[in-house]
Amino acid sequence: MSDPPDSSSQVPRQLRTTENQTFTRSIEVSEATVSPMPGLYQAVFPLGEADFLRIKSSSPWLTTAGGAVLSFGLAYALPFVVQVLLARRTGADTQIGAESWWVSGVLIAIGSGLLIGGRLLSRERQQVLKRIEAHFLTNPAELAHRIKS
Amino acid sequence: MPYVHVLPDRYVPLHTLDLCTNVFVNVSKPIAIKDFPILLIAGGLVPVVWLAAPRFPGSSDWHFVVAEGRSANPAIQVAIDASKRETVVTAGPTRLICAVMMADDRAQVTEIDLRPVGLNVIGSKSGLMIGTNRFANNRVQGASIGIALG
Repeated sequence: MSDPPDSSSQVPRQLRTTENQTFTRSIEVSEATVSPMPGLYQAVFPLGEADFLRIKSSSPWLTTAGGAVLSFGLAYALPFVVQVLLARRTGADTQIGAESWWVSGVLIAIGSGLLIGGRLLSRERQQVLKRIEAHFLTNPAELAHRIKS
Repeated sequence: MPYVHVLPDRYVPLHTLDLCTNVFVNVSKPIAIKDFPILLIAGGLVPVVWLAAPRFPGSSDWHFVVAEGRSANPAIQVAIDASKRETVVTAGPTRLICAVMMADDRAQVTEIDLRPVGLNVIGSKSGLMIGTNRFANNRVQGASIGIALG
């Protein structure tokens, strides 16, 4: 019979009891390993530092484009802002039309949008995530354990 | 041995550990397999537990699934009760280890069942069973390993 010993019921056969002894060296017992429970194991993906940096990366095109447009928008708006500040100090009226503000606003909005888009969309990140998903689909650790035993 | 197994940095062995009525005095690795520590208990407000499991089924490479009282494996939970100075490590419905601080340098393991992590070690307040060997009221003193398996 090869049932594992049941802790709650009868004493298993060939039980060797060691009681009330004092040892000055380790108690040595052999053959104490059993099969671990299957749920202990989860498939893991080995994430190297290179892949980790790829996951953190942003799209270089969108980031560059966004940076350029945003810089241009800020540069476009700067003279108007200066005019308004100076005019406030002297109390004079400015003659900046609404179009100037609209253009600046749109440029800044587009630039920021591209930057944010760059952060969110990254081809490298998508590739790494695809690889991770393929790994988990083909290497379920539990499946291997069940097949072996 | 290909390399020397080093104990975790922040582990300070207890002076006395009562493992299901077997008392280990000045033992740095209460349970070890081929010199690698499986169970380590350090003192504190509650017992601080390290528990190892094989890296994959059938492997002889063990790594800590509970380290410094924190579970590194989603299948294993560590619960502490500061008022009772108790630490309970469970895997689903099974209580792997139930340890209580009796004094600042003494802890007692009242229940142990390491079968979910691959060791045939079961213990209660009436004694410790390893495979077909039963140990009760023994004392190990001055050895670096309390129970050497494998």
